[in-house]
Amino acid sequence: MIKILVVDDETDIVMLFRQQFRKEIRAGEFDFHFAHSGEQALQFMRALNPFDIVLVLSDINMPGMTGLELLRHTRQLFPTLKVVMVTAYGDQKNYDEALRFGASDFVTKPVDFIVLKEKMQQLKTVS
Amino acid sequence: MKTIKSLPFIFLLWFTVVHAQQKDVFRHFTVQQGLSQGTVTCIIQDSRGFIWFGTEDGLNRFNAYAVDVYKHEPSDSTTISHSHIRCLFESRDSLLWIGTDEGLNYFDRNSEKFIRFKNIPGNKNSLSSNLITAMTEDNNGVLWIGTQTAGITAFDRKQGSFTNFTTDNSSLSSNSISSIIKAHDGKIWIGTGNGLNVMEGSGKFSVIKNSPGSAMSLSENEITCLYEDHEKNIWIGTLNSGINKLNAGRTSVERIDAESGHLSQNTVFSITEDNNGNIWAGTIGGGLNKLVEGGAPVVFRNDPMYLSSLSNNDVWSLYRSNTGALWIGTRNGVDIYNDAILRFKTISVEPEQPSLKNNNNIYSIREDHLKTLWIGFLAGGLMAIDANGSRHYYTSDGSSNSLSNNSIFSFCEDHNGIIWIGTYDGLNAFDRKTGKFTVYRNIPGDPTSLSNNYVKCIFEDSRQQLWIGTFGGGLNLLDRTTGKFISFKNNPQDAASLPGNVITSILEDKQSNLWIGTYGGGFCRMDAAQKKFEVHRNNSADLQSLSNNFVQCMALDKNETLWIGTYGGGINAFSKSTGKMARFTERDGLSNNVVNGILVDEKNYLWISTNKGLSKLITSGDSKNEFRVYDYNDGLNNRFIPGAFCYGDNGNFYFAGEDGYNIFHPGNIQDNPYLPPVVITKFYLFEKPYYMDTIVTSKNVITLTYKQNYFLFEFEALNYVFPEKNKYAYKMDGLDKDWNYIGTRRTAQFTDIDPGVYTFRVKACNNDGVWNDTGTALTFVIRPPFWKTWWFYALCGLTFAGATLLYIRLRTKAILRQYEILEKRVEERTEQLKTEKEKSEQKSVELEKALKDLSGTQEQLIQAEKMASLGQLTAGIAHEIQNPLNFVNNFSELSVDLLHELQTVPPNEQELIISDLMQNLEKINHHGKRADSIVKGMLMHSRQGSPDKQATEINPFIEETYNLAYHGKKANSVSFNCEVVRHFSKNLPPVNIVQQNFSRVLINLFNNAFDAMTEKEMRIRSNGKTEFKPLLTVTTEQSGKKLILKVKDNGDGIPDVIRDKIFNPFFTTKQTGKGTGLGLSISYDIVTKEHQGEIKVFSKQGEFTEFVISLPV
Repeated sequence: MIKILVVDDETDIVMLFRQQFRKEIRAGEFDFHFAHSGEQALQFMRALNPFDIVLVLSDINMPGMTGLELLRHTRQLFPTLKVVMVTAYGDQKNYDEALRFGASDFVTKPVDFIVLKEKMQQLKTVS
Repeated sequence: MKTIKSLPFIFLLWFTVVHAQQKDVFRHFTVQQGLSQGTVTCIIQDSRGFIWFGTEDGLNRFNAYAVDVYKHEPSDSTTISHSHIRCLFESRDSLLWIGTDEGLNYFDRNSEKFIRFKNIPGNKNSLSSNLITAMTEDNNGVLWIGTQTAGITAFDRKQGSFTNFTTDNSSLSSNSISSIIKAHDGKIWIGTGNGLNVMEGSGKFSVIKNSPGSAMSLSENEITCLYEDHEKNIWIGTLNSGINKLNAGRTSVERIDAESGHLSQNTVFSITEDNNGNIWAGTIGGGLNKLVEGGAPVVFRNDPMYLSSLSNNDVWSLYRSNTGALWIGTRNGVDIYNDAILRFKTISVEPEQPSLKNNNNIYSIREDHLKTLWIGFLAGGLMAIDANGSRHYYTSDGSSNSLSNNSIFSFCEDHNGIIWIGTYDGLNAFDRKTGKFTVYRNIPGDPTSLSNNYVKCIFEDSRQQLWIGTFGGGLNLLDRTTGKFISFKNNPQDAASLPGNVITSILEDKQSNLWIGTYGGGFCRMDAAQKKFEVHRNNSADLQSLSNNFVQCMALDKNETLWIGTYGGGINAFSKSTGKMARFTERDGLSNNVVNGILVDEKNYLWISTNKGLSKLITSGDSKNEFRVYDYNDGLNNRFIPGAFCYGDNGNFYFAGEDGYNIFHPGNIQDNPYLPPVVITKFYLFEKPYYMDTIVTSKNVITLTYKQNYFLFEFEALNYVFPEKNKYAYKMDGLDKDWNYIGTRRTAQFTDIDPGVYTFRVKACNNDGVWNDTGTALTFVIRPPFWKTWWFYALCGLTFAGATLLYIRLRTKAILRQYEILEKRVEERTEQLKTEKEKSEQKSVELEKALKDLSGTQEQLIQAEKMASLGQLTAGIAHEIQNPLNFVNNFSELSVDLLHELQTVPPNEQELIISDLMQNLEKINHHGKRADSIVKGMLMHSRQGSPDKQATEINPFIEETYNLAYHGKKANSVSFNCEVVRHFSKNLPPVNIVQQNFSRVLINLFNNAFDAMTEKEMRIRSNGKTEFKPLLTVTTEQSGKKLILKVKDNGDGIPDVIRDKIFNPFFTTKQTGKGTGLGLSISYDIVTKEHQGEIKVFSKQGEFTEFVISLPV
């Protein structure tokens, strides 16, 4: 099963994702996990099994460790994980930075869930 | 000159000496585990086996699990005379002596009390001084006690006499004593601040000092510590000049110091010797040294990245306990080092390339037939170690003959001696002769190319066919002549297809069957001829099926049993004849259910690497299998990596993980033979603890009354080698028929035991399950009841009545007294309030006068400040509104979807959807309000609105203003975060304020608080610490006719020197351009002039700043 780690300091994101992906979760396609800070996310990654297929979906604007810092650490410590960054509409500066740090892909905020689902299905085909 | 740059680099290669470091294991006992204080000044083991630690604040008795702490208690003369412990000594009659900053003590075990000895001014028959620094006992039983400033005292306990020796009445070279030892010949040696003394007779001392030219010259006269080794050499530690070794014949002194490279640091405070005769020296700042004769020492230092390193580089004390363990007293608690018990060693290696360093993450390991060890790092390239040293290989983009990727997951050496390397991106064939890599990758659209670039395992079978297992692309068979692949994939429609596409393990049995493990699809046997797969999966209804489908590794034992290690399901033994599995999990003794590797040794025992250390499964043919577990405390990796293990030459095993690799011969790993002594330490009667020593009489019998029938024994096996692995069993003779095996628990509880005679027995086993069957025992008696007698009742009744009367009388008296005191206090307070009120009235008159003076410039300043702060705020507010709006949109859209769904689903699922809908609507409302409050706050701040005072509810007003300030701050610094504690008093009366002006005051205070806390956070972070959490406390309360509002931050505070100036116009501590310097000054005016209130500041540097505003209600 593919694990999806959603990193966002807004706690209501949990409810939102659980509802948006309710069909996929019910079908056992994805296994969602949530972290509300970059630190929490790294903790989660450390406990992962190297065989796990994981997509990390991270917001940029977070207190403490920002999404960009998280991306940098992830590329260094867990190079096999795919990291998709959520960037605000028109935020070219963060987009460029994330690209430089090796983000696998981007989605713009507000998140278009149809686009996101497509990206996740793509990942599914490799496993 | 030839330049290297002009040479075309085909691949990157470094030749180096092997950079491999063995990791040492120090176990820690710190304040977190209960130690009374961190600086451990002295350590000693008593004759019963307990270890005692003296610290700068308290004495600690350690029982391998925890400490009992003894401290000075001013009101109790039976406590220790001072909590700063300087030295410890056990005399030959087994009394523990403690030297403190305030006198000498001994500990009476039977009463758990201390008996004190002190200097009595003017009395020569007392200690010479109270600051005791050193102690020993001579052959006559006389205690020799060294003091900080007053020489030494000989305490003859038989005579009860104290004799003092100082520079005045003897030939002692100094009155400042640092250490005293008794040498093998009974001579007393004294280290002082001015040379070494040896006592030749009463009051006669010979001195050895620094005297250039002499063979007996010390490097320095300031001596810190002394130690005589088993060869009778005396080792002398000095304050600034290393160590001096005085030979056994006492004829010459040899120097060991940092200058000669034989010591890491010249300030030495402790010296001891281990069981192998090695001398250890503790330095201040330079860590711990194991001295090497005539060479560089082995130095142990703290390494913040490595948990099991020395905990601090300041070593104050050293001690060797009876089992040979070294006890190290540091500034940060006690470390325990026991080389002998480390059955494993972790060797850490890392990539050489600077940008990839600090990476011990080994993801694959293999030893080839030339005994070269191949190590693959995660994101660190490839390393080959052989007798000549080590070589490193990295990917070099654009070159086809280099390694394809730096994350390496698998190796295989084929019959031609080619090393096949599986990486995150491509399969590599490395030819040692040419030093070139041939890379195979997936070519999209070409079905004869590698099916997936993430290569997880490679295997050459007995027919010399090369199989490649990929992560996601199934299995591949390579035709070496054409370079083309045949791939096998899972087909969900075909039950005889490969069961999964993530291949983790491939092996072959004696019948040439290929077995393939998959992550998620179980495992299978491949029928190569038919190209079919016989699949074995978990079936939740069948306990004899595979425990779970996430196979991480497989192994075949000597009996051709296939062992399958899973992620989370432990291991499975698969019988090929019956097709059934036997499972082994944590419940059976496996150290962890995530199994990363399995190797089988000569005896057919299994060695299993897990996420929590290594387990040995002792297979015995029948069902009596037994586990032994080992972890990082035994010297192993903390966490092993799946697939990173292999057999080595000579029956050696390799297991690799996050800290490096472990190599060992399974035959060398023996059980610990030590039988730990078992002691019953405490006895709890109705949950009140008693030390065993104090209640067990010499007859070893406890007598309890009938009523004392709720009690508990606490016991310990005094084994300091992994005490957490000791196990216990107890048996109450007269009650139990069999032993109760209670695992690692160290207590046994009893209730409602009938009168009689009992014997309580405990036994224990060590970390390897070797039992000390003798254990210990305690006999006790429970006496029959006497309460049935009539006189007992009568006595009870009388006593109760008497006590009640007495109580009533005493209580009435006390209440009367309290009432008087109260009355007096009220009077005093009223007087105080009166004067205060007069003062504040006077002040208000003054202020009114000032207001008139300033009226002109005032308005302009306010406007300027307002525009400046508004500019700062609005920038990020649009962004902050975006988040709640997104939620509003998302949840409302979802709700529409859910409503549609509601019409189609069966009634039993409707309820779930309705509850989701309700939650969504609540969330829409919540986030709508959130956006609303941000907008409101912004408007309130900016509008030109009415300058009139309005009656305002202060709490919601603060809330709105706070939100505005917070979002403004977040806009400028995204990483900012702060916890707010609101102490809002309820039912506050409305207060008359000019809202737009007063909000400015609050925003100012909040902004200042945010800035102060951010600054402190930055400072603390830059020091490498992260424990600071910004905390803002906002308080509202009513006090008489005033409303008090407090804003407190936990930033660095305001220095005293500028505290008076902060309300001055244009005074700012911020960088130019970051603050107008008007904020607080305008706030001051708004509060005091416009609102007739007061504003005050309280601050403690480094801790907090608090602004307190009071407004008239």
